[in-house]
Amino acid sequence: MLLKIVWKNIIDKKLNSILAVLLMAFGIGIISLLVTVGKQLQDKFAKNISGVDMVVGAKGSPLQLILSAVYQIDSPTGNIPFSELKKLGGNPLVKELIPLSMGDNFGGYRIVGSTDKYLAHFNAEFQEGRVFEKTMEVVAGATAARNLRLKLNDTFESAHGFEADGHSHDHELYKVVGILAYTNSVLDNLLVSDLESVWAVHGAEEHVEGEEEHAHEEDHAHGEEEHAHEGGEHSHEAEESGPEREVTSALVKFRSPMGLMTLPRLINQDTQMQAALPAIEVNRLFELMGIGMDALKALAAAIMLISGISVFITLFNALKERKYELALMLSMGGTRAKLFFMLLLEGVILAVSGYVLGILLSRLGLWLASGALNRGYNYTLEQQFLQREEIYLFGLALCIGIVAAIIPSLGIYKINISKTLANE
Amino acid sequence: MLETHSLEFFYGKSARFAFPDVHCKEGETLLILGNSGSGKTTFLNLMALLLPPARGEIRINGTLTTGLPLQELPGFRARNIGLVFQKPYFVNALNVRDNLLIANYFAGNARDERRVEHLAESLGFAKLLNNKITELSGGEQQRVGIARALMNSPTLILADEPTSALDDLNCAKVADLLEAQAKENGAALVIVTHDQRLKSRSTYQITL
Repeated sequence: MLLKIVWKNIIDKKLNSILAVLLMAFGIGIISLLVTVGKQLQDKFAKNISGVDMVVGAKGSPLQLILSAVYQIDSPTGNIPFSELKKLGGNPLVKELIPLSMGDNFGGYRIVGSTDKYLAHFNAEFQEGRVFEKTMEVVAGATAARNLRLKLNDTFESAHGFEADGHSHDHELYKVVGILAYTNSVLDNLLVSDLESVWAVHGAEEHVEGEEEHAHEEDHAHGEEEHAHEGGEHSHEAEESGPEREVTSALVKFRSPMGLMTLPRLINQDTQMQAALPAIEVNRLFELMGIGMDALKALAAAIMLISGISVFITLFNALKERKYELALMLSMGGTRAKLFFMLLLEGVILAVSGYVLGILLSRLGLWLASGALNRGYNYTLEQQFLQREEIYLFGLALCIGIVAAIIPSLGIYKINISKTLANE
Repeated sequence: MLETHSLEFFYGKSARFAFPDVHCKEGETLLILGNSGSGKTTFLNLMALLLPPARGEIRINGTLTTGLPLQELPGFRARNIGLVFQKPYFVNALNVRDNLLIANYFAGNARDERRVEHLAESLGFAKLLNNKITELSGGEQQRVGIARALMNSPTLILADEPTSALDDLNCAKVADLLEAQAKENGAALVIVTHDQRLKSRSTYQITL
């Protein structure tokens, strides 16, 4: 009965109640969305970073280098000679060096030339098929395979650059020889081949252009490309003709923390390459993002506060309007404690409904954001059950409801039954 | 059913009311007449246990209520006294039926749907049970107010100016219904009023 009275009273003041619930829902929704998206991005970023101590690439913005090499979302800074990388790989402090070469895509998904160490780095397992063994063989990440509808032995033509509609290379076709299981990492969104394939495609491409445009120019770079082209067709030769090759970047793991102390400085000073430390760059990125997030969180908190004030005003007015009702209930045997609880419950129900609606909104937002990220960056976010922060938010919503309701509700103890009912 | 003995009440320090002793048996109607300011509402509030008397005794249904501890008064009132107000106050968010049932709820009694039906039938608003209170006319509201006072089968019905807001026709109707219901329920009926139209209703009258 008490619940019925509370509920009917909420329904009776539809507009006030809706306002309070909506405000609460928006506040909760924004905070919850920020928390879940932020957390998932951080998780993804952390997961992709794990094991990579240093990234080397062409000189330029270190953040860009990290974003392109580790997260595959920004453009690469440029190319570096493969020979220099090999030299670095020989350093005793380097435990593992995974070269990456990129520049093409298929259907918006990047084709990355690397070695099988790159797959091992993510502990990738095969859904079906096997690792690339020959030039132009490619292994597809789980998301990429699903969205591109790639099956084993499918062939496709790569497009230049990272846009799906970049002009396509008219030459040999890539052939899918393996499809990976989900790793929940950037690998899911990649098509991985060996290094020679990328050289082959680009060598062939620029060789053709070269023939057309500079038919008789035989500068050094050109020769290099031409060589690459031949190498593409005879992969065995390619491995041996390393010195002229270029790659985009490389992921480096150190044998000991000593590497971290000495190698980055060594590389930045003595070579044409740049060394960037993912941990530092990502922290910098999150610091930058954090300012925006904090501002949004403050805004959301303000909205929640306004929701509390709206609950307060609703109940405060209600107490004035319903003074007679309350006196009546008191005269009928209702205790003040019971009626106090009844009024309090009204505020709490409004706050909790706002919370529930807010979480639903946040999940909807997450779904939309995931769609947008998927289109833009081939990144997806997962729908998750309640986060720890969201449980804290529930406590916060409850507190706001109670605090907003408690002052008007205490008014029940000031009602003089006989005076109120006698209408004096 | 209702006995009072040398009741006194003070408003502040100067205003002092002394009330005559009353004795009202079941089925009997007591009219307390008086102009405004004569203290008749105060008298009613004392009998309704809404105000504590400064001096004197009240005995309802054999219980000396002036001896009851404070926290037992609301429960005792809910079970033994039916209150009819001048203005029919209701919980406006609830419909007519629920407004009657809350009388059961606050008295701690079980929901008595059959009594709702029965009272609505005999007071002539059976068709309005699912309407909102605000959709009812003044006369209809007053009848619902009477029904609510009777929901817990009280032994004492206290009515404060139950007819003053009504026209002659409704006044007679409401007064008839109050008396009939009090008799049917075996309750003592006390009407506090300045409404001259009720003077002929009972021989037991007190003028303050």
